[in-house]
Amino acid sequence: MSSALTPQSPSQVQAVAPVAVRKLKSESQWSLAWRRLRRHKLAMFGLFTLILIVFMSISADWLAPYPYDEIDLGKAYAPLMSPGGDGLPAHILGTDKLGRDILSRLMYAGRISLTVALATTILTMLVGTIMGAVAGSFGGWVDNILMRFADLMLTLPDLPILLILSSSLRQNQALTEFLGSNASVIIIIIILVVFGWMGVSRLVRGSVLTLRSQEFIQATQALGGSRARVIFSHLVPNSIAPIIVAATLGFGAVIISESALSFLGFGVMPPVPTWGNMLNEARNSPLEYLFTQALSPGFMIFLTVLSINFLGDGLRDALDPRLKL
Amino acid sequence: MSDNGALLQVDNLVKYFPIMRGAVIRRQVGAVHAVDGVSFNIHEGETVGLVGESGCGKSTTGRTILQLYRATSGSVMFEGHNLVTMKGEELRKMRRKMQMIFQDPYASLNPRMTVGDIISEPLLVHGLANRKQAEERVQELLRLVGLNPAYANRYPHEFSGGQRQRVGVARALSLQPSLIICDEPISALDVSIQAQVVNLLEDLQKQFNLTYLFIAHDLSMVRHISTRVAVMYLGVIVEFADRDELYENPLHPYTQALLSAVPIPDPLAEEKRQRRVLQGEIPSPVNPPSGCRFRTRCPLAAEVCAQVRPDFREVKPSHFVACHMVA
Repeated sequence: MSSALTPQSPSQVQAVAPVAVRKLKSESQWSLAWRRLRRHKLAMFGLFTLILIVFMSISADWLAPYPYDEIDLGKAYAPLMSPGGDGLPAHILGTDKLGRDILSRLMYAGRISLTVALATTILTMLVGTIMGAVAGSFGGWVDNILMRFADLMLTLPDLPILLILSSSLRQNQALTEFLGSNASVIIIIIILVVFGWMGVSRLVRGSVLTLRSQEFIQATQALGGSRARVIFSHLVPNSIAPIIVAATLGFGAVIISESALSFLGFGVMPPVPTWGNMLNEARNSPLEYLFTQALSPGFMIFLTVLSINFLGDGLRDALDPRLKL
Repeated sequence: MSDNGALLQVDNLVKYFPIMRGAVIRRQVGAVHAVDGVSFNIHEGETVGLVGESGCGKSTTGRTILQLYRATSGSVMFEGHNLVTMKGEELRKMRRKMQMIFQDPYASLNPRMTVGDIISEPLLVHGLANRKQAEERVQELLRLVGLNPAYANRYPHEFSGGQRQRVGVARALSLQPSLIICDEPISALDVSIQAQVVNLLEDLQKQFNLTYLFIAHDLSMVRHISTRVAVMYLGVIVEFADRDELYENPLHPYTQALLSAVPIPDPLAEEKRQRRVLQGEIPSPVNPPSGCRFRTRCPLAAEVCAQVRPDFREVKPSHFVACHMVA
């Protein structure tokens, strides 16, 4: 039939706008989004800062002046810019109560904190989006069961359960052997995901419910699209804005939760530093040292969360083709 | 009314939407009788117009035929297969041959997909083309509906209403269906654009021997495009006849009232036009009147109309009416 697909009637010929045919191969949707993101100054600032922080953490082995667990009790609470010993590098941000170099610990801490935050956020969004989209698009008893389950999870007091779970999971020999040396990190990620997906799933469900009755969803059904296609290529992409906002807010919350867990002694175990447990160690330091002890990890958390928020803001806009940027 | 030569044969189609109450223990307290025993047929290559006022069940009829809503009862025979009992993969395969053009050109296109992706989606869903072939086919289809093929990479919001509706037409055409249900495809468009889209639909029909079910409330547009016309009122078809027969010799009092409301574009004739204004409001489809649906507003209503539901009879060759008062 394709040979017959040429316009024959005059009305069609007229309707073709006399626009010069521009390049047929235009850029892909991702490069379009990237171009739009680049115009968002704050997002680019966020992206740049994040890359810097990630780079700093990854290359801590080479860049850090000291190992994170090198104790020098003679130099406890050294102030900013205090010189190191014979031929050793200076303690730019001072030392903590055990004489460990704070800058080095900050760099190593970024590894754990960023890994936990990133993995938790991605997994939370994944689980929450799937749960919410399935609940919203199926409706009926599927929706009821999934959402009542989410309600149940929300009513559980998470902090006590987090504590019980993390300590009992850590004592489970088989599990720790299976997870290897990173057991405490992986356990924290799992716990934060299991208790963190409900908010996202509600957001996504709400957005899916409003989208579900739109004609383009019915159009997909009418042309024979499967339910999976309806969910993953129509409902979820159109719910991306609330998902990104939830992810950027969640990222900061995860860093804080991890520090809360570490504070209570159920998070990542010392001497491995995270921004969270460094913050909590600062709690015991004398007032005059609080500035270097608490503000340096605090500033890293602040900077990371801020960058992620800027980046998320830009991403949300860049991924919406309707916005003129 | 059955007809073996018909492409689509709808028999006694019923669609009730349940009304549920209660938060925990949900129970049905009633039903919206959206479509209540609709029968008609469509022959290959013709256009059947389906008219009626807002809320009378026109769109629901169209969507139930396509199984976007599952029918409460009745049958829809399409090319000899009953769609109502069909499920899953079988039905999905069947959808290749019947497509739909939607009313709202703003809501019926996914705002996050490019026009090219929208038009090629049916091909990819049914595995009829790989990416490259689909791309070529998109160019072809865009040209066919009068759009610049270079627009394939643009998003729907960059188009006007009329252009978007052309995209919707291209999407419906991409699978080369035999039946297209046009659900008020022009009601959301400007008058000048309406004519363009209707002409496009007519041209495509000639080119590809398409069959249309054309749902609309614009009586003059339906007269222009249809070969036969069905008039719907509150979930039932009250009259079904050839276009000229229906417009020149309407038998059902509702059709007569409806047609008397069409203005005539001639001042002298327009002055003499006798309007038959119906009394009252359209009853709720939750509690439709007993017997004849139209009796509460009918100038001819008699005792029998409240008790017996009128048969849909063939009073003249291929002119069907559901009214006790028509001889």
